[in-house]
Amino acid sequence: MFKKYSVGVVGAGSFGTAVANLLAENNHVYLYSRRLANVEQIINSKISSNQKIHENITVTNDIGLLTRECYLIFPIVSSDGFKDMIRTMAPFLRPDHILIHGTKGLAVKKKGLEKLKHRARIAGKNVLTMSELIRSESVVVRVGCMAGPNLAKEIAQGLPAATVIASRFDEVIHEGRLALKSPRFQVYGSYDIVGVELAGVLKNILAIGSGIVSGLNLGENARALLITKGWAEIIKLSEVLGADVKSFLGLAGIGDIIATCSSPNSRNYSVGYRLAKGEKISEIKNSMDEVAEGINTIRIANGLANYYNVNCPIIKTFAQGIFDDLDVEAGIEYLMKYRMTMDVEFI
Amino acid sequence: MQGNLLYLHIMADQQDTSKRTTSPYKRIIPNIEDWPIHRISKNREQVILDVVEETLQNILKKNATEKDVHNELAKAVYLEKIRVERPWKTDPDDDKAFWTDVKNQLVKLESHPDGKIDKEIEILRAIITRYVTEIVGNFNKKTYDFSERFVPFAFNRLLNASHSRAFTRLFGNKKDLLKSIHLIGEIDQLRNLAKDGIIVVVPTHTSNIDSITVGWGISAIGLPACFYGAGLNLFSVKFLAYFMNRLGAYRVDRRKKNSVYLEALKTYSTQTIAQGGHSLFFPGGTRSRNNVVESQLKLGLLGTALEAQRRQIIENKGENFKKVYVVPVTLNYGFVLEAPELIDEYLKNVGKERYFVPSDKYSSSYKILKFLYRFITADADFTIAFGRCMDIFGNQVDDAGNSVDHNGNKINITDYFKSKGELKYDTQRDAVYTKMLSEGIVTAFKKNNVALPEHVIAYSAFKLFQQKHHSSDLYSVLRMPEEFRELTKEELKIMVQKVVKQLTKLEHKGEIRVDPIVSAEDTDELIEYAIKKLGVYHTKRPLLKTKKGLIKCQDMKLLLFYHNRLEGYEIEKHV
Repeated sequence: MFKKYSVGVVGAGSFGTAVANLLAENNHVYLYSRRLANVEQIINSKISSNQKIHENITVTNDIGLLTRECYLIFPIVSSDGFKDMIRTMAPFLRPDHILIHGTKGLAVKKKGLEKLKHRARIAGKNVLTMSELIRSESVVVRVGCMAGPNLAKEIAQGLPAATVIASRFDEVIHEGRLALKSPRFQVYGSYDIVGVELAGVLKNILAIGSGIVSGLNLGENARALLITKGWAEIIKLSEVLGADVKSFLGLAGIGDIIATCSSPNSRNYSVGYRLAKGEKISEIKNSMDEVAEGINTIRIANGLANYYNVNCPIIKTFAQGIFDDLDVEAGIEYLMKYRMTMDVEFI
Repeated sequence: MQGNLLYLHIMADQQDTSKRTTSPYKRIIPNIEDWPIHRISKNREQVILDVVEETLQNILKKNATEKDVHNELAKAVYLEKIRVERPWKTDPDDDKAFWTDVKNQLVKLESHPDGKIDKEIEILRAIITRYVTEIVGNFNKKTYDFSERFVPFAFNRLLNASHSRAFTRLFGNKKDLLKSIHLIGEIDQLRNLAKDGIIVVVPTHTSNIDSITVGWGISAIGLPACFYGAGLNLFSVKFLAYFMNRLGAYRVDRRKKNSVYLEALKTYSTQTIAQGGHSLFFPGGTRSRNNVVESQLKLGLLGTALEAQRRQIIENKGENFKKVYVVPVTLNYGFVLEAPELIDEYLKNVGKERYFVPSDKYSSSYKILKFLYRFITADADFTIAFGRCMDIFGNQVDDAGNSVDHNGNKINITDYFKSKGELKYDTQRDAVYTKMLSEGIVTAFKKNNVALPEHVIAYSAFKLFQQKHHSSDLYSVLRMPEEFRELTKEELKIMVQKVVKQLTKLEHKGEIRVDPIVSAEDTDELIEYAIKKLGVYHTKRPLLKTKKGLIKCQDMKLLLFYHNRLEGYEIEKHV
């Protein structure tokens, strides 16, 4: 059934394009790209981020048009471009717009950044999830996020998958589901938006860790150990930040970890792999086109853990290894000697 | 951001007892006849009929079948039968008989279900009528006129009655001579917006006298009287009840937790606000037992403000509707008479709130009068801080009443009620909006909380004891043996300085208000002043100076209570 209103997607990267194609099966879609040249290229080639675009998609550079025509908008841009994107949109947005983002990253307020650099401490109020960024930069309240094991490449291939839409509003979950659901794409709902966002963001730390394990040939036992115990740290930390543990057992949690940490294609994984091979973080950063979210995430998570006194030895070791040049072997030794207590404490 | 700081003095002047307190604020609407509360309350019988009818319809909407209604009634009866076993003075004599009768009728109906809903509705209507008649207040111009004169007069009389104190005051510090009530904050904005808009005042709640102080404060800044929800126990004092019954107070009985009662209460509140009546209720629901500024609010009555705003919009088709403004107000006392009981209840009931049966302490006329008297004669002055108005979604509003976002852009609030361009009713969405509003109020409470000298000294001393005790366990700190509960003046001074420094930082960021005495005077004077005042009328003093020049705590629980007012600002991370 074709809907009366168009749906918007902001950001024509690989995931944005994949989501636009999914949406186009049920709706007319406006796909926005910031760069005019990119828009023209997509229109001419009918290809965006190596994906053929659906005939129901109109590609545009006009954010005013998109916000006028669409009540439901999916912002899917990288986290470092997210703030600029929302600021561009803000003058056109109203309280009856619904924004469901698909960005896995955290934003740090300027004030917090200094403290993070110098003292490796940051208060939760200085760290924003993307939904909080939308709330603070615009009048939109009906905010949601989509997260889960959603590798863009596989969605583009039309393989079966599912996602979680998290929002405080039933309406957001309902509208998101109506727009996205298809025989090859299942949509679940959650009210725990903080939890779902944090699960999606913080699991990138483990993706880097998984790369390190491979780079050092530590074996599958070590990978399982790292992921399981790292996840426990992440859950403890997220609980302090207001998340519900349950979200970490769902699609956006375990689901996403299984997909990401076993896939050598992810940027975060390759960062970890190259670190393990002895490259410095600055060299790796310079050689990559796009940012690997996990690097920033490690620093922020470590700062939060320090601020709230949450015991996170794995995150701490990663942070020291990446930013303070802690030796990899020394890091492993530290963790293996660390006095651990009971296995599962977070439920 | 501090707004205009205004001191209203009620002077202990023997010569001048009959003189009215002069407030520089004129009434924004001079004639009481033109006040919304006067217009709406004119016909109490009609108000009751309207509220009963709507309540009934609302309940029937949620409970469509005979079985549903029957279950709803059974639940109410069950809870009420428990309540009437422990009656309060304010409860009508026939309460027990009424509920026994209702129960018998229900039992009869249960054994002969006829598939029809008529008899259940009849019972339901009787219950609702009983509730609504109890809830709905009244407003009487003459009483208002009288009380406006009487309250300051009474304050004066009470002051003068304590001759010895008045005597020492005459020769004492000048500051002590003037009994000060401070009204601070965004008063001008509030006065402006109250002319065309509908005001919903939501104060913090720590003491039984809050109803009186905030009512007085509203009248002192020239606003028309508000409908306000007052705890039923206050009505047990005959002379207070006489006034409250005629000044727009309506009864809120927090023992009655059944959904029929709550629906009646909400319906009444919605109707009065939607008709343009300024309203007041305590969103914390009950007094803050531990004196921490409320961080969890009751959403029931707050939701009625949202519903009222929707009605205004729909009835006026989105044009020229009256806007509802929510005004967070903090009532700041350096002295809370019932502090010992409150903190005891808190400590005993941590985690057991559900099983807590509220008592009706302070229910006799004598007790409340004594209470008021003590409050007024104690040197504890108090500050009422008015926060900036916000709309019903927690957005800030500018001086013209427009809702604005973080960047100052105007927001059309009608859009909040729309889906895809059409006005649409969505209860789940409304519930989230109400939660958002409550989050906005909580933030505003914290920002408008006033750090008084008493709080600063209690906070500093308690933190020192905690540090000395090397324990994070609250209960073990509270059980510290008396011989360890002493501080030197020097260590206290260092701590106070750290705390004040942090408070000043917070004040600059607009995250708290700080009393001028805290920020102005030097630390020694501040400590002297605060110790003298802190809990001056409690039998056991939270802090007092010993002959050896040490500072001693006689009651750790009370110290905790006053200390708590500065909790939640992460000051402890910096001291």
